[in-house]
Amino acid sequence: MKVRVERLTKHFGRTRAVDGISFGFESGQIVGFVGPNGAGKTTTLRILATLEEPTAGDAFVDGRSVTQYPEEIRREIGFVPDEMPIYADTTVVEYLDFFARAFGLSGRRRTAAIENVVEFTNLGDLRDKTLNALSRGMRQRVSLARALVHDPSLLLLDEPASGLDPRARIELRELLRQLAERGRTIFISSHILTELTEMCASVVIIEKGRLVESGKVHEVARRSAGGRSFAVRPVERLDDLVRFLLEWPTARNARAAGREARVELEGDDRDAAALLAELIRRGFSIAEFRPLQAGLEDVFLSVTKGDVQ
Amino acid sequence: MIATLGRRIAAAARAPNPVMLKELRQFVRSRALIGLLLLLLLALVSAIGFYALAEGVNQALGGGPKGDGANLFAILLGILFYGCLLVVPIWCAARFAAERSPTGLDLLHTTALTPGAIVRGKLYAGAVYALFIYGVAAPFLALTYLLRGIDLPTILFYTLASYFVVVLATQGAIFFGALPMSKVFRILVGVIIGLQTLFALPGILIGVLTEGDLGAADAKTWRGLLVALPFGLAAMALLQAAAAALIMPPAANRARPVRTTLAVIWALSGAAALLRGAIASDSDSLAAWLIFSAVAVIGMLLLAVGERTTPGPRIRESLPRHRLRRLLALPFTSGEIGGLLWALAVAALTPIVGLAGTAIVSNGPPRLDQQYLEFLGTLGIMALYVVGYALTVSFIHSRFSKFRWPRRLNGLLAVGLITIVGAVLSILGAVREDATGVPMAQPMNIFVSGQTRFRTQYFAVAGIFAALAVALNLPRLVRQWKAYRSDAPADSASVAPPAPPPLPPARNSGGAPG
Repeated sequence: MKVRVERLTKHFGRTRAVDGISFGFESGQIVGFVGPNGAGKTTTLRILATLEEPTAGDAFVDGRSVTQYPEEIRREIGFVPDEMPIYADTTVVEYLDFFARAFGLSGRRRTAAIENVVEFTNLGDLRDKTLNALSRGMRQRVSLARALVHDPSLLLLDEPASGLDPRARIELRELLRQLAERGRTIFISSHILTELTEMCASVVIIEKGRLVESGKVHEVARRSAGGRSFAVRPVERLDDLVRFLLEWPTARNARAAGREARVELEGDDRDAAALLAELIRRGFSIAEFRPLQAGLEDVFLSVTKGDVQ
Repeated sequence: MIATLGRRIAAAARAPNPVMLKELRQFVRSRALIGLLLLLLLALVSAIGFYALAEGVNQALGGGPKGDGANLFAILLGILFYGCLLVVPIWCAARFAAERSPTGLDLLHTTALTPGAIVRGKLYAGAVYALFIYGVAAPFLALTYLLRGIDLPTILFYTLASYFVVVLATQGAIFFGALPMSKVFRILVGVIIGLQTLFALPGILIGVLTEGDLGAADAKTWRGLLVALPFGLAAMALLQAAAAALIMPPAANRARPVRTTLAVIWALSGAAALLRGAIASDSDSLAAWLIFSAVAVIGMLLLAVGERTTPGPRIRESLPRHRLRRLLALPFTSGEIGGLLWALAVAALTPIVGLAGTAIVSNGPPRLDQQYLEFLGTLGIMALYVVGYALTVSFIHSRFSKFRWPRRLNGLLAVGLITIVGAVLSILGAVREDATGVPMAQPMNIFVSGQTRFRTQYFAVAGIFAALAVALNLPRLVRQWKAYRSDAPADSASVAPPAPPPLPPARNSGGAPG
């Protein structure tokens, strides 16, 4: 399963919701889709889900255009919109049965598909409860089960964790990880960046409809920071250490953070090792010298300007 | 053909419409609907009780003949019919309107269900629900046979006819539920239409079917049914196509179901009108068909100017690649030029088919008399005015971008313009006539197109107005045509162009086990 978005553009009147973005990803990944409100995330997801038609450009799922072959693409994707399911007076199993039938599953195949997703999403105890009797977290699980009932290769999730309590978020995260392990491709938009940091290997960041960054999270972080960040914890003389780091030629943005110093270093591991050796030679007692993994929040704040359309 | 039909029925039995199943499951769970059903049963039992009591009193007082089954049947059928007409369409429309949220439709549009299947599912559910209610009431209706005065075929006939009206009303309500408008406006319009339907339909039904005689289904009744049934079926087909078009995604060819259905209805009704004209040797049915055709053309013109100017990629992909087939597909393709061409084709074919058909069936020259020719002229003037007004609005919309309103409102604005111009000229005409005693010609006023006194002038003005509007829009329409003609779908559509390098495969998905 390969997903490719090519110069995708969508106008709503004079508003350019999406402005020529291109990116791609492959199967077995959880890819985060990040951007401020109004950045064009939902529009992009809706185009991928065949619900909207791009003004220009196209998106391809396994080489097939979503605009030209929407019927075929729909069998390959499971879409979880940002709103909860309706049909409040149907039971969980009836709801899943409806969508299984809507995807053309029949007979034993349908029964097996429903049982599989009920088991996977751990909805067994709730199968005969009506949707209006479920909590938001439970309904989100039902929504995920619905999106999986026809066994799609690509899952598109639009803000799935919004409004969920911490337990429900953790459960959702675990389900998505398991799906990725089973080879599903998951493209997830979310505002909860800490969640995405823990889940996603790759990230696509857009702002005002334009692509700002895309790639593996740590690579994007390195690019956006201009180098790798390190934390240096001395046993004593923190102020002297910060002053030294400020004068070090390949170091930038050296600052004290609690009991340690943070610094961005240009170059590779040799440069980092050279700095450490010099610190020791100068008599600093270094208790810890470690690279910092930049979170999506840091990346997001550094690459976006907070503009909305 | 029978084998194909059999296979289709078998397939439908194996895989019933999912929307219908869902609706029926929800119905079974609905306490309100079960309560209403019990209420209906109570009303039927009470009606029988009261009727028996009244008859008993009547007999005791030495009144008329013994109880008449036809009277009781009329009462029971009335209760059943009105009860169903109140409950089933409103239930279906309310549910559809509630589910017509963006999320609800989005989820359905990401499945393999077509918009037509969604609308059909809703209709089937309403029909099954109504059938359930009728089934519950059937023993009561059959009981009236034992009281004499009515035979079983008549009971069956009227029960089925009223059931058909309930199903038709349900389809109308589903169309209404599919309209994209606010809840308040929907309720307001729904109440007005609902009340009108509620009071008008039974009268029309009984009038058409019995011509006032409810006792035994005779030849007149069957003739009435023969007239009413095709109208009902045509209305149902059109409402279903329109409802499906309303819930289609914006990228789809929304015009196709409506224009195709309307074209089929237009052709079949034209053939039926000619046939009836030949048999009955009069032009009444042909005149009715001309009115229907004029309404269809005017409606399509107003809708067309609100449509998109270029087909999107999804529509382009669905178009035939063969040049001639592509041209023939244009009137059935979403877009301004397609809608205008559809209207133009029907407007041109209607009088030709009408005149030629009349000549054929009468074995001689066309038999349209002066009255019908004048009538045809009035419809022509009206259509020309609509062309002028609709294209003027479309021209202003395309030319003056500062005053740009949503394109879909063009038809509505054209109606507004027609109404305003008509109202102003009518008032001026009335004032002038009061003052001078001489009627004033009101060119550009569509509502006086039938005035024979100024017919030539009106025809000339409407013709010039329409021609000017077409001339103003011609460059734009030619551009649309060229864009449509040249939009050949890519042969290598399934092969994506060279792409940017994909994101590298995941080595570490955030500490996922295994």
